[in-house]
Amino acid sequence: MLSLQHVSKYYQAGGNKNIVLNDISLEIDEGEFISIMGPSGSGKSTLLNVIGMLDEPSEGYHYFVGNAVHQLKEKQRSALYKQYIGFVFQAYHLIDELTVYENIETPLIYQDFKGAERKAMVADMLDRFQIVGKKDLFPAQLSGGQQQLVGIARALIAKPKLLLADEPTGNLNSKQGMEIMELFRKLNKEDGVTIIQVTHSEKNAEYGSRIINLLDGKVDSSRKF
Amino acid sequence: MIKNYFITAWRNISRNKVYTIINILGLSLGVTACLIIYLITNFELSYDTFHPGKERIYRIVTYLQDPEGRNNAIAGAISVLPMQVRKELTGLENVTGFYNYFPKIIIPTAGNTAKKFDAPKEGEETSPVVVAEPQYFSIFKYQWLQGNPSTALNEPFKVVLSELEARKYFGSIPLENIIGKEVIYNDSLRVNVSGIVKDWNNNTDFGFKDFISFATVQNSFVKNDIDLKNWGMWSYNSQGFVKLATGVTQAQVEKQFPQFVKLHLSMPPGMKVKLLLQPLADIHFNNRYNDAYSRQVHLPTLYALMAIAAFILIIAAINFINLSTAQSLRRAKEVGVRKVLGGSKASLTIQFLIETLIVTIIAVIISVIVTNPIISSFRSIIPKGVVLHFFSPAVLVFLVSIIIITALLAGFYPARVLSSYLPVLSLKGQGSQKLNRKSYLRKSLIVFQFTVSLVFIIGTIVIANQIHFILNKDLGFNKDAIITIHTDYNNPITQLGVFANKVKQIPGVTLITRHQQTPASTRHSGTVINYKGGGGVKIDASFDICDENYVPLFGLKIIAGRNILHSDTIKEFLVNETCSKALGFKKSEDALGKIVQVGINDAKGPIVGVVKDFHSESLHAPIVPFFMASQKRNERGVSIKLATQGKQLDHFKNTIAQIERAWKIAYPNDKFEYRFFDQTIANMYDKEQKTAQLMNTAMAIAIFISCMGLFGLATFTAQQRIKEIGIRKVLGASATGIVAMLSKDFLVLVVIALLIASPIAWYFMHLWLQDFAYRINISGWTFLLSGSAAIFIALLTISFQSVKAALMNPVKSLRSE
Ligand SMILES: Nc1ncnc2c1ncn2[C@@H]1O[C@H](COP(=O)(O)OP(=O)(O)OP(=O)(O)O)[C@@H](O)[C@H]1O
Ligand SMILES: [Mg+2]
Repeated sequence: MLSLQHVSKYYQAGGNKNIVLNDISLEIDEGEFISIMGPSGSGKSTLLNVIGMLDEPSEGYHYFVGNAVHQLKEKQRSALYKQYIGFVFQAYHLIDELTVYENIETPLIYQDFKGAERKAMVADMLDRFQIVGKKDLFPAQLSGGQQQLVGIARALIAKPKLLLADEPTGNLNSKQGMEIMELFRKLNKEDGVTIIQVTHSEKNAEYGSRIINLLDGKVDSSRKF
Repeated sequence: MIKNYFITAWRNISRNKVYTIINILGLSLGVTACLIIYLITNFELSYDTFHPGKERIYRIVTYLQDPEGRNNAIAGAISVLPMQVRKELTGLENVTGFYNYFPKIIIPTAGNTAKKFDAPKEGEETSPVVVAEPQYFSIFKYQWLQGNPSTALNEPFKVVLSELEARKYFGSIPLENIIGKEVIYNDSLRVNVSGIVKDWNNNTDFGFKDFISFATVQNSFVKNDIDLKNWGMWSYNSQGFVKLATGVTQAQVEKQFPQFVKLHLSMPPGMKVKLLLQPLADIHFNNRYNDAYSRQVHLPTLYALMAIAAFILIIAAINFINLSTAQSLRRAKEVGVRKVLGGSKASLTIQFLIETLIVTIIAVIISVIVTNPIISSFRSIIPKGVVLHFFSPAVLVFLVSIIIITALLAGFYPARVLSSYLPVLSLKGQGSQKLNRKSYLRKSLIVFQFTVSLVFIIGTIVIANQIHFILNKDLGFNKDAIITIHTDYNNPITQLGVFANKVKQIPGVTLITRHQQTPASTRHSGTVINYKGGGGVKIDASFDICDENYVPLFGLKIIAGRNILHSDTIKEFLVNETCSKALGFKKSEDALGKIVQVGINDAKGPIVGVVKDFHSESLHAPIVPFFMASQKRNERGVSIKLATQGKQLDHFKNTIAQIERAWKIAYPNDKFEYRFFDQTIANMYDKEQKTAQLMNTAMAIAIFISCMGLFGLATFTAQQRIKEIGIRKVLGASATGIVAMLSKDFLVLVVIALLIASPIAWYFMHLWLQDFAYRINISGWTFLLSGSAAIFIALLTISFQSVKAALMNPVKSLRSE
């Protein structure tokens, strides 16, 4: 499904080059469920952003469903993203001005779904995450865990083929975390959604079919189940 | 999609109430200023643009050059000139003469109560009455409701009325019944209505309503007013208009004038006459030519107004840019998320523009609502006839363009900047950090705003100082508690004696003097003084004709010789110091007893006294040679000095009421109208007072908008640094220290603005002051004062927020993070 070849990312800090991703090559097939682990600052989020086309690598080649991403224009990239990818952020990133309902609905609007259709899909999501009662609240009125759930619901609403999740369970209690992991597994198994998640929890990582360990911007180890 | 845009836009707008109110208020002020000035400009520029073939219509004007080379532009013509032009010149489709006439009007009615209308005051008001040749209607087209345009004015004792005038005279009877009715001008000129035309709806200087047939002149006493024999008399009220034949140029006609002049006008040696054509479109704007009916607009003033409007709108838009870029930190995240969710750059730009659009539209709606009330409260500086007709296409086009321009001006930059970063940068707030680091843009915009405000502040102070100076300068005479009354020239002069004697007996009256004008007047006549002795000098001088009470009543100081005596003809002269010097006398005493001759009927006599110089004109002009002499029949005005003890206002009212009673006995048919002399002098500076009012308004608006912007930014900064402030307080910073920290940055900007504004303001005010012969110096204090005022206002604005931030409980601010 996607492939990174010799991807590096560095920041210029004063005279120094601060290397965050160091010559990473990676093949990911459709239907995989991958967990990325590693210590804080090892470049996990950066890698996920590059995969999700939210950030550009400094060097290297990036292919996604047959397209050479490093050669695409912003518009094409954005179209590709819209079509395939759902993203759950480490820091939720909900739109403060929109209600829970509207936050979840927004991707559908950008993808030109009809009003009635949107209504049904959002209602379904709210139901699935048991946040129907919160639908008219604004993000500031939610707890961290609830915001996380809204973020996940929003990522899934448009039925992405590739789900990128940056510590999706970081703010959830272990029961909620497990439920989300079960949901991911179900999506992966039944709907064939490719999933890449970043996690610090060994237990959650094991829901995946492959675990990639990052250290100082390099793939330290990779094991398949 | 669009609906979603509007929802978020609306939420953003209503969530940030402070910013929104600042933006809307500022923009509505800016838009209102623009709208009003647009209306004024549009109004003035639309004058007389509706006449068919208007580019071929010209007025015949005259340049007289005297032997000293001075030019005198005259809008009027010699009364017979147009007729002669018609006979002799080629290339003209039509020529007409018309004459402004200022009669009383009587409409006889079936009963014995005739309708009466007072005569318009010549020189102060315009008169609706003209005496016109039939050709007038071939050049200026009307829709004829009754009568025939080609014959209506052919016979004597006919008048064509406009529909409104006909209604005013005869009420609502059918128009055809008005034909043939009688109108009496100046008590005995009886004419019959021979036509009725529809009033023009468009803006025009030619708003005449009574057109008396020209043939009437030869057959009535009007021939005394309109002299058709004399080729030496230029009259301000005689107007000549031509319409060129198609294809003929102005130059082709003007080329024929020199020959024409040679044939008809024999000028005294040294005098030169030049006839010229003035295009119709020039009449409303060229104030070199004065006539009795048109109002001139000063184009530079109009341009200055436009510039002021533009500046006010720009500083309002700057608030918008500043506040939205300042908020970009928070907005950047939203932008990032939206991009991640599939929003394209274009759609995000649109979203931001919609926000600005909503705010702009609200602002425009507010402006439209308040414009008419504001116009009516500024009637003294806005010409009558300027109103907002919301549904006129010109206004709609203007409003729509204002909305679009403002929305783009204010919204495009933030929209572009915010939507152009990589999503991940925006999410981390880095794009906006870049934007915030670029706050030099924001800073320069604030500097710009304060520069504009300061230019207005300095201008206001200079103008106020100058007006204070001219109104309080010692003019060399008294101006307090004096009222002046002018009598009509048609009354026998003996009546004035009757009136004066009655007034003298009123207890509240100290003194009464008869004269032509007052010591300071815009209407002193001029003549020459010829001194034959000592080599001989001939100088120009202004003069006044007056009795012996003139000097004591106005408190003029005689520094040599004695006062003049009252006489029937000019026998002796009282001159001012400047005049005495100009005549070649080193000391004032030297002038005494010297015989001089003046240009008024070649009157001759000795100089009997010299008065200390006083300002006989407005302070725009330097003191000129001036003399006073007595000649009873020309003393048509009186000035009365009122006693000033006791309760002034009541006392005055009482005395004036008694004077009015005396007036009614001496002049039973005339209206009693008086003016306070100090008011007459203040009126000389009407234009300056209007400028001052305009500057005050512009200053208030500019300061208000700029301060609102500053307030918004201060609010934002305080919010943004709330955590920092909390930490600093925990670490032991004092409240004053924190206020100083938050205010310092802004104050530096105001100081920079002062440095930029000072030379600009100095330059413009220096130009403005050149118009006065007596003027203040622009002192450094003006700038210091303006600067301090701006700093004080800015400080006040900022401190509201910074004090609040400094006094906040640190635990609270830290926890809220
Ligand atoms: N804009 C930036 N400029 C400079 N350095 C950056 C920037 N963004 C990230 N980094 C650096 O890149 C490195 C990797 O960051 P990244 O967010 O990918 O870490 P992470 O593995 O996701 O850590 P965590 O587990 O704490 O989320 C860090 O050392 C960080 O300092
Ligand atoms: Mg991370």
